[in-house]
Amino acid sequence: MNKSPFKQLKRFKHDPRFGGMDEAAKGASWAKIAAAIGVDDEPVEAPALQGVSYGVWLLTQYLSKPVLVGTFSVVVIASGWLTTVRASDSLPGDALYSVKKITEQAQLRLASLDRRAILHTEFAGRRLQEASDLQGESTNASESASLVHGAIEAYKQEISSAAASLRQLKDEGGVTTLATASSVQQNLQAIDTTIDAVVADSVSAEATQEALVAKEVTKVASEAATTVAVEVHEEEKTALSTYELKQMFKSELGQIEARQRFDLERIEVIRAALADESISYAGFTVPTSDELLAYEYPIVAVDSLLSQAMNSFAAGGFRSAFATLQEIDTSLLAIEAQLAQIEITIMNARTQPPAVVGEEAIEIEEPAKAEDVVL
Amino acid sequence: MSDLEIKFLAFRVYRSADKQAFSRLHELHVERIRRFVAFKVARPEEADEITSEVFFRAWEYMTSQKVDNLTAFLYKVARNIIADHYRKSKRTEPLTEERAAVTATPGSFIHDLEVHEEAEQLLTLMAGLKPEHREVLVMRYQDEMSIAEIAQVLDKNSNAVRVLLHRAKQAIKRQV
Repeated sequence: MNKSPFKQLKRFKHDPRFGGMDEAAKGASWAKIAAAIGVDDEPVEAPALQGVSYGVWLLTQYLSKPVLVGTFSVVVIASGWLTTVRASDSLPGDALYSVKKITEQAQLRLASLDRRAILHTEFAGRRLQEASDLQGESTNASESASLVHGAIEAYKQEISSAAASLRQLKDEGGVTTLATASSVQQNLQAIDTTIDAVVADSVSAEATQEALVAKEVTKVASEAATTVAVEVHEEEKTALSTYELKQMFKSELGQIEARQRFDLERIEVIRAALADESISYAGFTVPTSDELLAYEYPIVAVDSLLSQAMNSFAAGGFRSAFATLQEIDTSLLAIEAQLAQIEITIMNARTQPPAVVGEEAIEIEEPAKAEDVVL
Repeated sequence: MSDLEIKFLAFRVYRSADKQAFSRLHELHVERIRRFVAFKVARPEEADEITSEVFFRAWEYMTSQKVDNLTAFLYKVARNIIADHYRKSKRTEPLTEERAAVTATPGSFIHDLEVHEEAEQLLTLMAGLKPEHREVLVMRYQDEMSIAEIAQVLDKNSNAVRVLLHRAKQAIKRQV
Protein backbone atom coordinates (compact mmCIF):
# COMPACT_ATOMS: atom_id res chain seq x y z
CA MET A 1 0.00 0.00 0.00
CA ASN A 2 1.56 3.26 -1.14
CA LYS A 3 -0.66 5.73 0.64
CA SER A 4 -0.78 6.19 4.39
CA PRO A 5 -3.30 3.74 5.90
CA PHE A 6 -4.58 6.59 8.09
CA LYS A 7 -5.39 8.74 5.09
CA GLN A 8 -6.99 5.71 3.45
CA LEU A 9 -9.16 5.17 6.52
CA LYS A 10 -10.47 8.73 6.18
CA ARG A 11 -10.96 8.28 2.45
CA PHE A 12 -13.11 5.17 2.86
CA LYS A 13 -15.10 6.43 5.83
CA HIS A 14 -18.38 6.48 3.87
CA ASP A 15 -17.62 3.28 1.98
CA PRO A 16 -20.13 0.49 2.76
CA ARG A 17 -17.28 -2.01 3.11
CA PHE A 18 -16.12 0.02 6.08
CA GLY A 19 -19.57 0.21 7.58
CA GLY A 20 -20.43 3.50 5.87
CA MET A 21 -24.01 4.23 4.77
CA ASP A 22 -25.57 6.15 1.91
CA GLU A 23 -28.87 8.03 2.27
CA ALA A 24 -30.91 5.01 1.17
CA ALA A 25 -29.28 2.80 3.78
CA LYS A 26 -29.87 5.42 6.45
CA GLY A 27 -33.50 5.64 5.38
CA ALA A 28 -33.89 1.86 5.56
CA SER A 29 -32.32 1.85 9.00
CA TRP A 30 -34.69 4.55 10.24
CA ALA A 31 -37.68 2.69 8.78
CA LYS A 32 -36.92 -0.25 11.10
CA ILE A 33 -36.60 2.00 14.14
CA ALA A 34 -39.69 3.97 13.17
CA ALA A 35 -41.74 0.77 12.94
CA ALA A 36 -40.46 -0.32 16.37
CA ILE A 37 -41.22 2.96 18.14
CA GLY A 38 -44.47 3.60 16.33
CA VAL A 39 -43.84 6.27 13.70
CA ASP A 40 -45.79 6.29 10.45
CA ASP A 41 -44.01 5.37 7.25
CA GLU A 42 -43.97 9.01 6.25
CA PRO A 43 -40.55 10.61 6.75
CA VAL A 44 -40.48 12.69 9.89
CA GLU A 45 -39.59 16.33 9.79
CA ALA A 46 -36.75 17.36 12.05
CA PRO A 47 -37.65 19.94 14.70
CA ALA A 48 -36.52 23.49 13.99
CA LEU A 49 -33.46 24.42 15.97
CA GLN A 50 -34.80 27.88 16.55
CA GLY A 51 -37.98 29.44 17.81
CA VAL A 52 -39.44 29.78 21.26
CA SER A 53 -38.84 26.27 22.64
CA TYR A 54 -35.18 26.24 21.61
CA GLY A 55 -34.70 29.74 23.01
CA VAL A 56 -36.33 28.82 26.31
CA TRP A 57 -34.26 25.65 26.55
CA LEU A 58 -31.07 27.57 25.86
CA LEU A 59 -31.96 30.01 28.59
CA THR A 60 -32.70 27.31 31.15
CA GLN A 61 -29.66 25.23 30.22
CA TYR A 62 -27.14 27.98 30.04
CA LEU A 63 -28.55 30.60 32.34
CA SER A 64 -25.96 29.93 35.02
CA LYS A 65 -22.95 31.01 32.93
CA PRO A 66 -24.36 34.36 31.72
CA VAL A 67 -25.54 35.06 35.26
CA LEU A 68 -22.04 34.32 36.55
CA VAL A 69 -20.44 36.52 33.92
CA GLY A 70 -23.01 39.27 34.49
CA THR A 71 -22.57 39.18 38.25
CA PHE A 72 -18.82 39.32 37.88
CA SER A 73 -19.10 42.27 35.50
CA VAL A 74 -21.36 44.14 37.91
CA VAL A 75 -18.94 43.45 40.78
CA VAL A 76 -16.00 44.69 38.75
CA ILE A 77 -17.82 47.83 37.63
CA ALA A 78 -19.26 48.49 41.10
CA SER A 79 -15.97 48.08 42.87
CA GLY A 80 -14.39 50.37 40.37
CA TRP A 81 -12.01 49.97 37.50
CA LEU A 82 -9.42 51.92 39.43
CA THR A 83 -9.37 49.33 42.18
CA THR A 84 -8.62 46.58 39.67
CA VAL A 85 -5.85 48.63 38.08
CA ARG A 86 -4.33 49.43 41.46
CA ALA A 87 -4.61 45.79 42.48
CA SER A 88 -2.50 44.74 39.49
CA ASP A 89 0.57 46.24 41.17
CA SER A 90 -0.17 44.80 44.61
CA LEU A 91 2.05 42.29 46.36
CA PRO A 92 1.21 39.35 48.65
CA GLY A 93 0.22 40.78 52.03
CA ASP A 94 -1.35 43.93 50.50
CA ALA A 95 -5.04 44.62 51.01
CA LEU A 96 -5.70 44.67 47.26
CA TYR A 97 -3.81 41.47 46.52
CA SER A 98 -6.97 39.36 46.86
CA VAL A 99 -8.62 41.50 44.12
CA LYS A 100 -5.68 40.74 41.84
CA LYS A 101 -6.03 36.99 42.48
CA ILE A 102 -9.81 37.05 41.95
CA THR A 103 -9.35 38.89 38.65
CA GLU A 104 -6.85 36.25 37.53
CA GLN A 105 -9.16 33.42 38.56
CA ALA A 106 -12.00 35.00 36.57
CA GLN A 107 -9.75 35.33 33.52
CA LEU A 108 -8.84 31.65 33.81
CA ARG A 109 -12.45 30.55 34.18
CA LEU A 110 -13.56 32.43 31.09
CA ALA A 111 -10.57 31.42 28.96
CA SER A 112 -10.46 28.57 26.45
CA LEU A 113 -8.07 25.71 27.21
CA ASP A 114 -5.29 26.95 24.91
CA ARG A 115 -5.53 30.49 26.25
CA ARG A 116 -5.57 29.09 29.82
CA ALA A 117 -2.21 27.35 29.32
CA ILE A 118 -0.66 30.63 28.18
CA LEU A 119 -2.36 32.61 30.97
CA HIS A 120 -0.87 30.28 33.58
CA THR A 121 2.64 31.06 32.30
CA GLU A 122 1.85 34.80 32.35
CA PHE A 123 0.63 34.53 35.95
CA ALA A 124 3.71 32.48 36.82
CA GLY A 125 5.82 35.40 35.55
CA ARG A 126 3.84 37.72 37.86
CA ARG A 127 4.43 35.43 40.87
CA LEU A 128 8.14 35.45 40.12
CA GLN A 129 8.13 39.24 39.86
CA GLU A 130 6.27 39.42 43.17
CA ALA A 131 8.86 37.15 44.81
CA SER A 132 11.59 39.42 43.47
CA ASP A 133 9.79 42.61 44.62
CA LEU A 134 9.18 41.14 48.07
CA GLN A 135 12.88 40.62 48.72
CA GLY A 136 13.70 42.88 51.64
CA GLU A 137 10.29 44.62 51.32
CA SER A 138 9.25 43.98 54.90
CA THR A 139 11.13 45.11 57.96
CA ASN A 140 10.28 41.78 59.54
CA ALA A 141 12.78 39.31 58.02
CA SER A 142 10.84 36.16 58.82
CA GLU A 143 7.59 37.63 57.46
CA SER A 144 9.40 38.68 54.28
CA ALA A 145 10.93 35.21 53.87
CA SER A 146 7.53 33.61 54.36
CA LEU A 147 5.89 35.85 51.71
CA VAL A 148 8.72 35.17 49.23
CA HIS A 149 8.38 31.45 49.85
CA GLY A 150 4.61 31.72 49.32
CA ALA A 151 5.13 33.54 46.01
CA ILE A 152 7.58 30.87 44.82
CA GLU A 153 5.10 28.13 45.78
CA ALA A 154 2.37 29.97 43.83
CA TYR A 155 4.82 30.24 40.92
CA LYS A 156 5.38 26.47 40.94
CA GLN A 157 1.60 25.93 41.00
CA GLU A 158 1.05 28.20 37.97
CA ILE A 159 3.83 26.51 36.02
CA SER A 160 2.51 23.02 36.68
CA SER A 161 -1.04 24.19 35.79
CA ALA A 162 0.30 25.55 32.48
CA ALA A 163 1.90 22.17 31.70
CA ALA A 164 -1.29 20.33 32.72
CA SER A 165 -3.52 22.57 30.55
CA LEU A 166 -1.22 22.02 27.59
CA ARG A 167 -1.30 18.26 28.07
CA GLN A 168 -5.10 18.34 28.34
CA LEU A 169 -5.30 20.38 25.13
CA LYS A 170 -3.15 17.77 23.39
CA ASP A 171 -5.28 14.91 24.75
CA GLU A 172 -8.44 16.57 23.52
CA GLY A 173 -6.92 16.87 20.05
CA GLY A 174 -7.04 20.69 20.04
CA VAL A 175 -6.03 22.13 16.68
CA THR A 176 -4.05 24.91 18.34
CA THR A 177 -1.93 22.58 20.50
CA LEU A 178 1.33 23.13 18.67
CA ALA A 179 0.95 26.92 18.51
CA THR A 180 0.03 26.95 22.20
CA ALA A 181 3.03 24.77 23.10
CA SER A 182 5.21 27.21 21.19
CA SER A 183 3.74 30.22 23.07
CA VAL A 184 4.08 28.45 26.42
CA GLN A 185 7.69 27.62 25.59
CA GLN A 186 8.43 31.26 24.68
CA ASN A 187 6.92 32.49 27.95
CA LEU A 188 8.92 29.91 29.91
CA GLN A 189 12.11 31.04 28.20
CA ALA A 190 11.32 34.65 29.10
CA ILE A 191 10.80 33.53 32.69
CA ASP A 192 14.08 31.62 32.62
CA THR A 193 15.89 34.77 31.47
CA THR A 194 14.24 36.70 34.33
CA ILE A 195 15.47 34.08 36.80
CA ASP A 196 19.00 34.42 35.43
CA ALA A 197 18.74 38.18 35.95
CA VAL A 198 17.53 37.61 39.53
CA VAL A 199 20.55 35.39 40.15
CA ALA A 200 22.90 37.96 38.62
CA ASP A 201 21.46 40.82 40.68
CA SER A 202 20.93 38.81 43.82
CA VAL A 203 22.28 40.16 47.07
CA SER A 204 21.04 37.39 49.30
CA ALA A 205 21.76 33.69 49.52
CA GLU A 206 18.04 32.93 50.10
CA ALA A 207 17.04 34.67 46.87
CA THR A 208 19.64 32.71 44.91
CA GLN A 209 18.40 29.43 46.35
CA GLU A 210 14.75 30.28 45.64
CA ALA A 211 15.68 31.27 42.08
CA LEU A 212 17.38 27.93 41.54
CA VAL A 213 14.26 26.09 42.70
CA ALA A 214 12.18 28.17 40.28
CA LYS A 215 14.62 27.38 37.48
CA GLU A 216 14.29 23.65 38.07
CA VAL A 217 10.47 23.86 37.95
CA THR A 218 10.63 25.91 34.73
CA LYS A 219 12.92 23.33 33.18
CA VAL A 220 10.45 20.49 33.86
CA ALA A 221 7.54 22.48 32.36
CA SER A 222 9.63 23.45 29.35
CA GLU A 223 10.48 19.80 28.69
CA ALA A 224 6.79 18.92 28.96
CA ALA A 225 5.87 21.62 26.39
CA THR A 226 8.54 20.35 24.01
CA THR A 227 7.34 16.76 24.38
CA VAL A 228 3.78 17.81 23.56
CA ALA A 229 4.98 19.73 20.48
CA VAL A 230 7.00 16.76 19.20
CA GLU A 231 4.09 14.37 19.78
CA VAL A 232 1.71 16.64 17.86
CA HIS A 233 4.18 16.91 15.00
CA GLU A 234 4.66 13.13 14.88
CA GLU A 235 0.89 12.73 14.56
CA GLU A 236 0.33 15.52 12.03
CA LYS A 237 3.61 15.70 10.06
CA THR A 238 2.46 18.80 8.17
CA ALA A 239 4.59 21.62 6.78
CA LEU A 240 3.10 23.90 9.42
CA SER A 241 3.94 21.56 12.30
CA THR A 242 7.51 21.21 10.97
CA TYR A 243 7.79 25.00 10.82
CA GLU A 244 6.46 25.45 14.38
CA LEU A 245 8.84 22.80 15.68
CA LYS A 246 11.74 24.43 13.86
CA GLN A 247 10.92 27.77 15.48
CA MET A 248 10.80 26.13 18.92
CA PHE A 249 14.12 24.40 18.33
CA LYS A 250 15.80 27.63 17.18
CA SER A 251 14.45 29.50 20.15
CA GLU A 252 15.61 26.82 22.61
CA LEU A 253 18.99 26.68 20.93
CA GLY A 254 19.37 30.45 21.27
CA GLN A 255 18.38 30.22 24.93
CA ILE A 256 21.05 27.62 25.67
CA GLU A 257 23.72 29.61 23.84
CA ALA A 258 22.78 32.69 25.88
CA ARG A 259 23.00 30.68 29.09
CA GLN A 260 26.36 29.32 28.02
CA ARG A 261 27.71 32.87 27.58
CA PHE A 262 26.10 34.01 30.82
CA ASP A 263 27.62 31.12 32.82
CA LEU A 264 31.08 31.80 31.38
CA GLU A 265 30.72 35.45 32.42
CA ARG A 266 29.73 34.33 35.92
CA ILE A 267 32.93 32.32 36.16
CA GLU A 268 34.91 35.40 35.13
CA VAL A 269 33.18 37.45 37.84
CA ILE A 270 33.88 34.72 40.42
CA ARG A 271 37.49 34.59 39.32
CA ALA A 272 37.80 38.38 39.72
CA ALA A 273 36.12 38.28 43.14
CA LEU A 274 38.45 35.53 44.36
CA ALA A 275 41.44 37.54 43.16
CA ASP A 276 40.18 40.65 45.00
CA GLU A 277 42.59 41.09 47.86
CA SER A 278 40.23 43.35 49.78
CA ILE A 279 38.04 40.33 50.60
CA SER A 280 39.22 37.82 53.14
CA TYR A 281 38.25 34.23 52.40
CA ALA A 282 39.88 32.85 55.49
CA GLY A 283 37.60 30.20 56.93
CA PHE A 284 35.58 29.85 53.74
CA THR A 285 36.03 27.04 51.26
CA VAL A 286 36.42 28.57 47.83
CA PRO A 287 37.54 26.92 44.61
CA THR A 288 41.09 27.19 43.34
CA SER A 289 41.85 28.50 39.88
CA ASP A 290 42.15 24.93 38.55
CA GLU A 291 38.84 23.97 40.08
CA LEU A 292 37.19 26.91 38.37
CA LEU A 293 38.58 25.60 35.09
CA ALA A 294 36.85 22.32 35.81
CA TYR A 295 33.52 24.20 35.90
CA GLU A 296 34.39 26.12 32.76
CA TYR A 297 35.34 23.15 30.61
CA PRO A 298 31.93 21.42 30.43
CA ILE A 299 30.25 24.76 29.65
CA VAL A 300 32.55 25.26 26.67
CA ALA A 301 32.09 21.61 25.67
CA VAL A 302 28.37 22.28 25.20
CA ASP A 303 29.28 23.49 21.69
CA SER A 304 29.86 19.98 20.38
CA LEU A 305 26.54 18.77 21.79
CA LEU A 306 24.75 21.73 20.24
CA SER A 307 26.20 20.71 16.86
CA GLN A 308 25.00 17.17 17.49
CA ALA A 309 21.47 18.42 18.27
CA MET A 310 21.45 20.57 15.12
CA ASN A 311 22.54 17.62 12.99
CA SER A 312 19.81 15.41 14.47
CA PHE A 313 17.21 18.10 13.83
CA ALA A 314 18.36 18.60 10.24
CA ALA A 315 18.07 14.85 9.67
CA GLY A 316 14.49 14.85 10.97
CA GLY A 317 15.32 13.32 14.35
CA PHE A 318 13.28 15.90 16.25
CA ARG A 319 12.80 13.84 19.39
CA SER A 320 16.50 13.08 19.62
CA ALA A 321 17.45 16.72 18.91
CA PHE A 322 15.23 18.02 21.70
CA ALA A 323 16.46 15.25 24.01
CA THR A 324 20.04 16.44 23.44
CA LEU A 325 19.02 20.01 24.27
CA GLN A 326 17.34 18.78 27.44
CA GLU A 327 20.50 16.87 28.34
CA ILE A 328 22.54 20.06 27.93
CA ASP A 329 19.98 21.95 29.97
CA THR A 330 20.27 19.46 32.84
CA SER A 331 24.07 19.63 32.79
CA LEU A 332 24.08 23.43 32.74
CA LEU A 333 21.57 23.53 35.56
CA ALA A 334 23.84 21.34 37.72
CA ILE A 335 26.84 23.58 37.03
CA GLU A 336 24.75 26.72 37.65
CA ALA A 337 23.72 25.35 41.07
CA GLN A 338 27.40 24.90 41.97
CA LEU A 339 28.28 28.39 40.69
CA ALA A 340 25.44 29.81 42.79
CA GLN A 341 26.90 28.06 45.84
CA ILE A 342 30.26 29.74 45.21
CA GLU A 343 28.57 33.12 44.72
CA ILE A 344 26.75 32.68 48.03
CA THR A 345 30.08 31.97 49.72
CA ILE A 346 31.61 35.09 48.19
CA MET A 347 28.63 37.15 49.36
CA ASN A 348 28.98 35.72 52.87
CA ALA A 349 32.71 36.44 52.87
CA ARG A 350 31.99 40.05 51.86
CA THR A 351 29.38 40.67 54.50
CA GLN A 352 30.36 38.62 57.52
CA PRO A 353 33.32 36.85 59.05
CA PRO A 354 33.17 33.04 59.24
CA ALA A 355 31.66 31.67 62.46
CA VAL A 356 34.61 29.46 63.38
CA VAL A 357 37.71 29.86 61.32
CA GLY A 358 39.07 26.61 59.96
CA GLU A 359 36.57 24.24 61.64
CA GLU A 360 33.06 25.06 60.49
CA ALA A 361 33.91 26.64 57.21
CA ILE A 362 31.16 26.68 54.57
CA GLU A 363 31.56 23.62 52.43
CA ILE A 364 31.33 23.81 48.68
CA GLU A 365 30.69 20.75 46.61
CA GLU A 366 33.83 19.53 44.87
CA PRO A 367 33.81 20.58 41.23
CA ALA A 368 33.41 17.70 38.84
CA LYS A 369 36.54 16.79 36.95
CA ALA A 370 36.36 17.66 33.29
CA GLU A 371 36.55 14.01 32.20
CA ASP A 372 33.77 13.01 34.65
CA VAL A 373 31.25 15.52 33.44
CA VAL A 374 28.71 13.73 31.34
CA LEU A 375 27.17 16.04 28.81
CA MET B 1 -24.74 20.38 13.93
CA SER B 2 -23.30 21.74 17.14
CA ASP B 3 -23.09 19.88 20.46
CA LEU B 4 -25.59 22.33 21.85
CA GLU B 5 -28.16 21.50 19.19
CA ILE B 6 -27.62 17.76 19.72
CA LYS B 7 -28.19 18.26 23.45
CA PHE B 8 -31.39 20.11 22.66
CA LEU B 9 -32.65 17.25 20.49
CA ALA B 10 -31.78 14.73 23.23
CA PHE B 11 -33.64 16.92 25.70
CA ARG B 12 -36.71 16.91 23.43
CA VAL B 13 -36.60 13.12 23.29
CA TYR B 14 -36.41 12.93 27.08
CA ARG B 15 -39.01 15.60 27.86
CA SER B 16 -41.68 14.80 25.26
CA ALA B 17 -40.62 11.56 23.55
CA ASP B 18 -40.13 13.61 20.40
CA LYS B 19 -39.80 11.13 17.53
CA GLN B 20 -38.81 13.87 15.10
CA ALA B 21 -35.91 14.83 17.29
CA PHE B 22 -34.91 11.19 17.61
CA SER B 23 -35.08 10.79 13.83
CA ARG B 24 -32.60 13.64 13.46
CA LEU B 25 -30.29 12.14 16.09
CA HIS B 26 -30.50 8.79 14.31
CA GLU B 27 -29.56 10.42 11.02
CA LEU B 28 -26.57 12.14 12.65
CA HIS B 29 -25.18 9.09 14.42
CA VAL B 30 -26.27 5.99 12.57
CA GLU B 31 -23.33 5.82 10.18
CA ARG B 32 -20.61 5.94 12.81
CA ILE B 33 -22.43 3.42 14.98
CA ARG B 34 -22.86 1.06 12.05
CA ARG B 35 -19.18 1.48 11.16
CA PHE B 36 -18.22 0.69 14.74
CA VAL B 37 -20.40 -2.42 14.69
CA ALA B 38 -19.41 -3.52 11.17
CA PHE B 39 -15.77 -3.90 12.19
CA LYS B 40 -16.79 -6.21 15.00
CA VAL B 41 -19.09 -8.63 13.24
CA ALA B 42 -18.62 -10.76 10.17
CA ARG B 43 -21.70 -10.08 8.06
CA PRO B 44 -23.27 -6.75 7.03
CA GLU B 45 -26.71 -8.10 7.92
CA GLU B 46 -25.57 -8.62 11.49
CA ALA B 47 -24.20 -5.06 11.53
CA ASP B 48 -27.58 -3.73 10.36
CA GLU B 49 -29.49 -5.69 12.96
CA ILE B 50 -27.24 -4.65 15.80
CA THR B 51 -27.30 -0.99 14.69
CA SER B 52 -31.11 -1.01 14.72
CA GLU B 53 -31.06 -2.62 18.15
CA VAL B 54 -28.72 0.12 19.42
CA PHE B 55 -31.12 2.88 18.41
CA PHE B 56 -34.17 1.05 19.67
CA ARG B 57 -32.59 0.60 23.11
CA ALA B 58 -31.37 4.19 23.01
CA TRP B 59 -34.94 5.36 22.41
CA GLU B 60 -36.23 3.36 25.35
CA TYR B 61 -33.55 4.72 27.63
CA MET B 62 -33.58 8.31 26.42
CA THR B 63 -37.34 8.72 26.86
CA SER B 64 -36.97 7.92 30.57
CA GLN B 65 -33.45 9.14 31.48
CA LYS B 66 -31.35 12.18 30.65
CA VAL B 67 -28.26 11.53 28.55
CA ASP B 68 -25.38 13.99 28.81
CA ASN B 69 -23.05 12.74 26.11
CA LEU B 70 -25.10 11.10 23.39
CA THR B 71 -22.17 9.90 21.27
CA ALA B 72 -20.44 8.14 24.17
CA PHE B 73 -23.80 6.72 25.27
CA LEU B 74 -24.56 5.22 21.83
CA TYR B 75 -21.12 3.60 21.62
CA LYS B 76 -21.58 2.08 25.05
CA VAL B 77 -24.97 0.66 24.10
CA ALA B 78 -23.41 -0.75 20.92
CA ARG B 79 -20.58 -2.40 22.87
CA ASN B 80 -23.05 -4.02 25.25
CA ILE B 81 -25.21 -5.36 22.43
CA ILE B 82 -22.17 -6.70 20.56
CA ALA B 83 -21.00 -8.44 23.75
CA ASP B 84 -24.46 -10.03 24.08
CA HIS B 85 -24.28 -11.02 20.44
CA TYR B 86 -20.95 -12.81 20.98
CA ARG B 87 -22.23 -14.53 24.08
CA LYS B 88 -25.27 -15.82 22.22
CA SER B 89 -23.22 -17.08 19.30
CA LYS B 90 -20.42 -18.25 21.68
CA ARG B 91 -17.71 -16.42 19.80
CA THR B 92 -14.66 -15.22 21.64
CA GLU B 93 -12.55 -13.71 18.84
CA PRO B 94 -15.13 -12.01 16.72
CA LEU B 95 -13.56 -10.60 13.67
CA THR B 96 -9.88 -11.11 13.07
CA GLU B 97 -9.87 -14.47 11.33
CA GLU B 98 -13.45 -14.38 10.18
CA ARG B 99 -13.20 -10.95 8.60
CA ALA B 100 -9.97 -11.92 6.85
CA ALA B 101 -11.73 -14.99 5.46
CA VAL B 102 -14.64 -12.87 4.30
CA THR B 103 -12.29 -10.47 2.61
CA ALA B 104 -10.63 -13.26 0.72
CA THR B 105 -13.69 -15.24 -0.28
CA PRO B 106 -15.18 -14.53 -3.69
CA GLY B 107 -18.90 -14.12 -3.42
CA SER B 108 -18.81 -12.57 0.01
CA PHE B 109 -20.33 -9.12 0.41
CA ILE B 110 -16.99 -7.41 -0.06
CA HIS B 111 -16.37 -9.10 -3.40
CA ASP B 112 -20.00 -8.67 -4.37
CA LEU B 113 -19.48 -4.95 -4.12
CA GLU B 114 -16.52 -5.15 -6.52
CA VAL B 115 -14.15 -3.73 -4.05
CA HIS B 116 -11.42 -1.42 -4.97
CA GLU B 117 -7.96 -2.92 -4.52
CA GLU B 118 -6.81 -0.34 -2.01
CA ALA B 119 -9.92 -0.75 0.05
CA GLU B 120 -9.36 -4.49 0.06
CA GLN B 121 -5.79 -4.07 1.17
CA LEU B 122 -6.86 -1.74 3.92
CA LEU B 123 -9.58 -4.13 5.07
CA THR B 124 -7.05 -6.94 5.17
CA LEU B 125 -4.70 -4.76 7.20
CA MET B 126 -7.48 -3.87 9.60
CA ALA B 127 -8.54 -7.51 9.89
CA GLY B 128 -5.00 -8.38 10.97
CA LEU B 129 -5.12 -5.96 13.90
CA LYS B 130 -6.19 -6.66 17.44
CA PRO B 131 -9.84 -5.66 17.97
CA GLU B 132 -8.92 -2.83 20.38
CA HIS B 133 -6.40 -1.43 17.89
CA ARG B 134 -8.92 -1.57 15.07
CA GLU B 135 -11.53 0.08 17.25
CA VAL B 136 -9.36 3.03 18.25
CA LEU B 137 -8.15 3.61 14.67
CA VAL B 138 -11.72 3.69 13.35
CA MET B 139 -12.76 6.15 16.05
CA ARG B 140 -9.78 8.41 15.48
CA TYR B 141 -9.48 8.39 11.69
CA GLN B 142 -12.93 7.52 10.39
CA ASP B 143 -15.16 9.00 13.05
CA GLU B 144 -12.60 11.80 13.64
CA MET B 145 -13.12 11.71 17.40
CA SER B 146 -10.80 13.54 19.79
CA ILE B 147 -8.70 11.61 22.32
CA ALA B 148 -10.98 12.84 25.11
CA GLU B 149 -14.10 11.57 23.29
CA ILE B 150 -12.50 8.17 22.66
CA ALA B 151 -11.47 8.00 26.32
CA GLN B 152 -15.08 8.55 27.37
CA VAL B 153 -16.37 5.83 25.06
CA LEU B 154 -13.71 3.30 26.06
CA ASP B 155 -13.86 4.16 29.77
CA LYS B 156 -10.13 4.80 29.82
CA ASN B 157 -8.10 7.85 30.70
CA SER B 158 -6.60 10.02 27.95
CA ASN B 159 -3.08 8.73 28.50
CA ALA B 160 -4.20 5.13 28.08
CA VAL B 161 -5.97 6.06 24.83
CA ARG B 162 -2.89 7.83 23.56
CA VAL B 163 -0.77 4.76 24.25
CA LEU B 164 -3.38 2.49 22.65
CA LEU B 165 -3.54 4.71 19.56
CA HIS B 166 0.23 4.81 19.29
CA ARG B 167 0.42 1.00 19.46
CA ALA B 168 -2.39 0.65 16.93
CA LYS B 169 -0.54 2.96 14.52
CA GLN B 170 2.67 1.02 15.01
CA ALA B 171 0.83 -2.26 14.42
CA ILE B 172 -0.71 -1.14 11.14
CA LYS B 173 2.58 0.43 9.98
CA ARG B 174 4.37 -2.87 10.65
CA GLN B 175 1.90 -4.65 8.41
CA VAL B 176 2.30 -2.09 5.64
